[in-house]
Amino acid sequence: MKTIYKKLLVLLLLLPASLLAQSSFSGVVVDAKSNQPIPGVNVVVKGAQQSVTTDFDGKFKLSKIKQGDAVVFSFVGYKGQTITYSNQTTVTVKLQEDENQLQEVVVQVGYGSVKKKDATGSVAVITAKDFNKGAITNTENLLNGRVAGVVVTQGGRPGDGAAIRIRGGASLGASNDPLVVIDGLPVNNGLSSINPNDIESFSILKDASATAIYGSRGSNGVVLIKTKKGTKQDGVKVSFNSLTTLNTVAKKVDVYSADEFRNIITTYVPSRVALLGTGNTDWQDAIYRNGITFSNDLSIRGNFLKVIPTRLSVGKTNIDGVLETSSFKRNTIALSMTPSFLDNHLKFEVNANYATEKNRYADEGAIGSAISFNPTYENFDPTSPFGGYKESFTLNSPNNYTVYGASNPVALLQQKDNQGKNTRVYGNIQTEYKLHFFEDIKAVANLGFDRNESTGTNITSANSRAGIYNAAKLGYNQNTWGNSTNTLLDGYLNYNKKFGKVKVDLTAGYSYQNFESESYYSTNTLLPLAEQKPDVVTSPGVNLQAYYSRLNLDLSDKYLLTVNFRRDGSSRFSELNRWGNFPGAAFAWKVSSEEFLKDSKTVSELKLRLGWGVTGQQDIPAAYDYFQRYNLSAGTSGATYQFGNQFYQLGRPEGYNANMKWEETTTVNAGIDFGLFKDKVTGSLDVYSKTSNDLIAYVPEGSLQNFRTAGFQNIGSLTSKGAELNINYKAIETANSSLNFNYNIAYNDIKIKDLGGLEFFQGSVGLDVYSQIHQERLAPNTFWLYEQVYDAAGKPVEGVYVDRNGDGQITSLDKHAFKKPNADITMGFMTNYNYKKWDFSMAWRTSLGNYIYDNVNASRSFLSQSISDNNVNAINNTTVDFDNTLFTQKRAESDYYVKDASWLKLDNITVGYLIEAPFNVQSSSLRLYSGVQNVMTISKYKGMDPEVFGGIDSTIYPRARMFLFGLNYNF
Amino acid sequence: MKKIKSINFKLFVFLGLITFFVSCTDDMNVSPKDDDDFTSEAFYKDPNSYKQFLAKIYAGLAVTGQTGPDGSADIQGIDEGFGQYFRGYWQLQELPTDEAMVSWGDPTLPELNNHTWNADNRFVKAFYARVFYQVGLANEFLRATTDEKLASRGVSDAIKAEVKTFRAEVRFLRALSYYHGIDLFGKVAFATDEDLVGSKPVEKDRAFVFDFLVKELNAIDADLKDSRTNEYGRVDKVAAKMLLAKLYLNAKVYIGVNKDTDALTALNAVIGSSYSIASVPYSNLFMADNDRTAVQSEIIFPIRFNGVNTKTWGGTTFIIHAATGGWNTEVGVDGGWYGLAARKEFASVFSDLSGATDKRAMFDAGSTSTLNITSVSDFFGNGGLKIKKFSNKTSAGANGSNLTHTDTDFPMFRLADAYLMYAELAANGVGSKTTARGYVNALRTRAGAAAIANDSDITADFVLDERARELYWEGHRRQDLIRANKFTGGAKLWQWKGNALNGASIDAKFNVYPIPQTELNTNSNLTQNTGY
Repeated sequence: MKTIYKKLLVLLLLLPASLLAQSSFSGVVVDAKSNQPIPGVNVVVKGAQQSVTTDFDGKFKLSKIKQGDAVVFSFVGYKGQTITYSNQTTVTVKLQEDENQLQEVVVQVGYGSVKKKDATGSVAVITAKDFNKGAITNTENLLNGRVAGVVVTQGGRPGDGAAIRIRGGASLGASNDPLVVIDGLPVNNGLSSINPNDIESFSILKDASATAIYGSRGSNGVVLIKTKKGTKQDGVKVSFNSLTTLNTVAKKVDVYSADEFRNIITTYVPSRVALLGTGNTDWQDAIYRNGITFSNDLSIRGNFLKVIPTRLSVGKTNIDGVLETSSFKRNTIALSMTPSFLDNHLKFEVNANYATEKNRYADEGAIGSAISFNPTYENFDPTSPFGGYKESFTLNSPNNYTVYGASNPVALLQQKDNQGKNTRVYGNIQTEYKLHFFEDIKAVANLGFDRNESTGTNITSANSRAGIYNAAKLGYNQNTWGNSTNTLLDGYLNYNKKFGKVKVDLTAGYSYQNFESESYYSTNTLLPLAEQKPDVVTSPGVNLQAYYSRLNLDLSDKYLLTVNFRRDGSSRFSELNRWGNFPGAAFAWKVSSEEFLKDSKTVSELKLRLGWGVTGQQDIPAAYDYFQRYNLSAGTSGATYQFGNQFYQLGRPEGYNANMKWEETTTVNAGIDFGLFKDKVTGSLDVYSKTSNDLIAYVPEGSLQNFRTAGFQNIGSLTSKGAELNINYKAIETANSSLNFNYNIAYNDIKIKDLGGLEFFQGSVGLDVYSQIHQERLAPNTFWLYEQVYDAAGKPVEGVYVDRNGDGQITSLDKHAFKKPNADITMGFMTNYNYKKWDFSMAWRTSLGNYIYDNVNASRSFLSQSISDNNVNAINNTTVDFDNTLFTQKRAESDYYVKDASWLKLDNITVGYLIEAPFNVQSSSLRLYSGVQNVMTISKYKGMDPEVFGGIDSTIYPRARMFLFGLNYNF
Repeated sequence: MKKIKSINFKLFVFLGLITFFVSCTDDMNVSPKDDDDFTSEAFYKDPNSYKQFLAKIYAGLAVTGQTGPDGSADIQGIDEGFGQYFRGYWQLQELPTDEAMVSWGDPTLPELNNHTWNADNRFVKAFYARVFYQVGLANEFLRATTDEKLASRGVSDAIKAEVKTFRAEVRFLRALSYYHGIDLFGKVAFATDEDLVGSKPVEKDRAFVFDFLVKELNAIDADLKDSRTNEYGRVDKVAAKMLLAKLYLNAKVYIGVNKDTDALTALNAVIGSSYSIASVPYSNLFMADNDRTAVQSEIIFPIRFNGVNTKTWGGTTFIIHAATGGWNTEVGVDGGWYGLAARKEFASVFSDLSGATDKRAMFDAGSTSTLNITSVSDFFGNGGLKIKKFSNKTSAGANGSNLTHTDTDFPMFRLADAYLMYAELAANGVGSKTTARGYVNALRTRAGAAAIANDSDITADFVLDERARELYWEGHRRQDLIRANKFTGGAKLWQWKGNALNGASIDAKFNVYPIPQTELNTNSNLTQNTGY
């Protein structure tokens, strides 16, 4: 075996050497303006049979060339150029852009890339010029609102990740998150640890003909992220970006002032007027502050040692949230190296990233407490045993307290120190080898790694109400750690060849991905040892493997055909159901390449697309639901049982479903890509229909059917239909100014088609109270409540609902489907205006037809157990909605609380000014900009913010309004 | 030569790839890695596993999941605390009666106070799920411990002998849950260890289940331990006799046949066993240290709780907190939940609420003058008789081990209940009234109440009241009233019965609870009870 190895090594080393010995002509083709390499340029030796195209780095190589041969370089969108061969071994060819034509956009399609104009599926590409401007400190925000059918819901908490939904998702119980792939590495740790300034572009695959190449992971769409890379140019480019924002609370919850509260108590709870204080505190003012964000990053690009194009960036972001004590600090280092060797036959792409995040999490219970806490109290009470913070309590005996009513929200924040530290290392090494003996084939191997390590401490003061345990002051001190590792191995072969008018591009490969995680929590270490129950939780891991292939055929640059096939295996299913087959196909007709449109002055580009594909879904929380397991309660779990004098751990058989199998989503998509008036107007229109069958849903299981009452089953189907339109309009394009409008609109209609006759409740809004339902023929999570009866004055009559089935009694059969949380229509609008050195940008988003269950009001705007606390010694404030209802009891099941939450948001306005060659440094530039983020919201919804993920508003961390100032300095 | 090498190379790569893919494919066969999770094979490798599974089934009456007081819940889709066995059982047996009412407004909870419940009631649903979860566990235990299975695992003879007793106890626990099932729901979902996991259970009526239970309880007698020879907390032959006696006593309700004679036989076996009435103050039976030796003699079957090791939001934690207002330190807990009180009609079974003439009258003195309950919920601050029967204080006056989660065990079966069941039979003409009077007086004497002088005082009405005095809040009232034909109809009224301030007659359908709508949705074999 060893000798074979040695011989192979020698062989491998000899091969390129022997090939290099042959005479050849090679070079690189670049854009004359940007010096960026141009892939796909046709290089033809005039009068000879020889022709090649440049690779993705713009490189080409011709062998067997005679002195005096004319070599023609041509490429769509550029003016052709001819060079006469005169023994140059290598040249750099600079192609001038043909003003009349579009510059090529390259789309990542998974295991390769294609030119946008050759894409057959529904894909959107977002590059720097399309990114959102303004206060961008996280990656998802770059594309929020920019792509039709891609809804990004960004939380307000500093450092919070965003939820991304492409075409509304495809599943009920399994994940609806799209697959996110960074430089070829599928990640599932979120994007919060990425510096947004490292992002070069997003390619978003929306339909199944495109995502089927990711088979099991493509059902919810795919977001492919390409990060910035080094350059082959000489010299070093440095870029420095700095952003400072002042973060303020845009809107508070409308609650009673101290005086109004006095009236409420006097009127409705007269027996407790004695509990009114003399203070006058706005508790929301007390917990919110103006926060500051600093975000700076520095990047260096160059050609390291003249062979390794390298980019190194360092970023630092500090955010102080608007909620007191909350903060987020992130440091990132990103290194990318893209060297190529052996005359470009061997290429490497190395991406290495390191990020640390430090979070201080505020106790967000304070947001609710600030609504409820008695406003006639002062914050400080010199007699309070709780660090001087006013609280409601009774001292029963020394160090024995009974506490009641809402907690002091300021104390909740200030007496708790909950910190998390996160270190993430991720990256990949991609090797691309073009076979020397068979240049049409290249082999690509991709090794990836993503590891996240976190530690946390959660300390609550011994002197706080929250730190009371067993009626006595104790405090809380918990340590946690966790780590997760995701390893990837991908390998594929690509065959690319032109046979006459037919271009063939065939890819086939194998992918292996493994996910492991482990976590630990100490529980309260201040407890007696016997009561602590520290535990290390080890996940069994998830293993995914796949074989995939794709064939692209291009006939005469007019007819494009893509066929995908992927076979996926998942450790979440038994061997019997483990593998799923996921095919996809798409056809595109470039109508504008036809003779009859070639010279059209109106239509500059027109492409019709038709796609079909099947994708799979297996991403559920349960890692191995398919076989029977036992769980043993820990000795210190608090769940042991005493026989005689000894406590025994509990051995529990776990529920399982041996028949779990793949959920499958079939998508049909038809689309048009168009360019009008020399591409002054460009855009695309897509219509689609998606059906998910064998839905993996978490459904109720009847008694005695299993060792549980709910679990994952393949049940029913979900359909969604929609249409999307993206339009870009270059209204002005002159030397001095440009004006650009970008608009997108998406319509999505998602319905549960079949649920095996079952229905189940969703959207918990209290102990065993649900506001939503999954039911056949309805949208998922449709609100399912009693129809409120209103009096003549329009006030809801307490506890009186419409007897919809007319049986003389109000039972759950009278509940009705009333609106749904997901929007019918979402739109995004951005305009960019440049005049000389000034630039101006503005971005709007809107969401129509989405409704909210107002749990801020439903959970506290009533008398019994809210305003009048359960405990006779406490009273609580509430929202002003109490004026509208005067409810004595909690009426959480009334549809009164379902509110129209359609909204229009002006996300940001920015103005920038460019200084060329500042400080007298040639080819440098400095842009200064300023603006406002989260400028305004227009909505009928009266709560804090109508943009609530999932449709239930139970107080959210407020999204700050930010006033920003920033600079970009390049030299 | 070079050619051959390249063929070798290709072959090498090919074979390498094959090995690689095959070995990688195995990576998809995952198995538990956590120290708390096991495959079935790994679990049963440990000989302790049998007792751990047995403990789980007993604990099914006490805790709600694998972490106390909550976490890793057994039952999904409901609030974990609502799904605690004892809390569910207690609420369904007590809240619709004069003995108790709850002040909280949790959706569908007030319906239990005023007999307006329907098939959507969350607490009915939660208890149904818990009863049959328990049956499911028992069935699995029996499936997993057959002689063949034990033999195949090479289990030692000592363990085999132990498992034999375990199996009998598990069959008892299954019988107990089925008994609760037919008592509260009439017909039930039915499956035994002979049915497969994943199949839908069939529906069986009371008559079928009654026969099944009688056979089961007789069949396990031989394998159960003798009276008081088992570890405290585990059942013996006497517990099975007690359950049998309860089935027979209620046979007229369950199957329309009077089986009082059979009940008497079973009761005599209970009363004649080595269990005895504990010679401790009555209050000690319901305190944090009610598992001490002196009390154990009376407790035939306890549900055991512990503030550190067996924690739940249900159980006695629920009953003690919920019954408590501002006097929490008096009963050894960290705060009252201001929930439970008795109605004024219950107060009338005691001629004196102060406790001076009957120590079983354990009430909050302040509440004895505000018995009227004027609203169906949110009344705690204004009315109702507040009960201090259960406490997290020890008999020595110390607090339990934890002030939130109580140590107090709940006496599911105790000998005093058997005494009064005997008295009821005697009042009905089966058994001796003189003996019955002796039993009644033994209890009354312990409570410091005047003895009953004449055999003729042993009447059905007297026994019903005496059971209320001795056994109130121990989960018997609804069943006792139904047996006396006083639960539904208008023969006996109490505040808020039938959703009327001073009580109204209710339909006979309320003698059983509805089958939860969610169960009907998930199993087409099940049908709704008449009237719902």
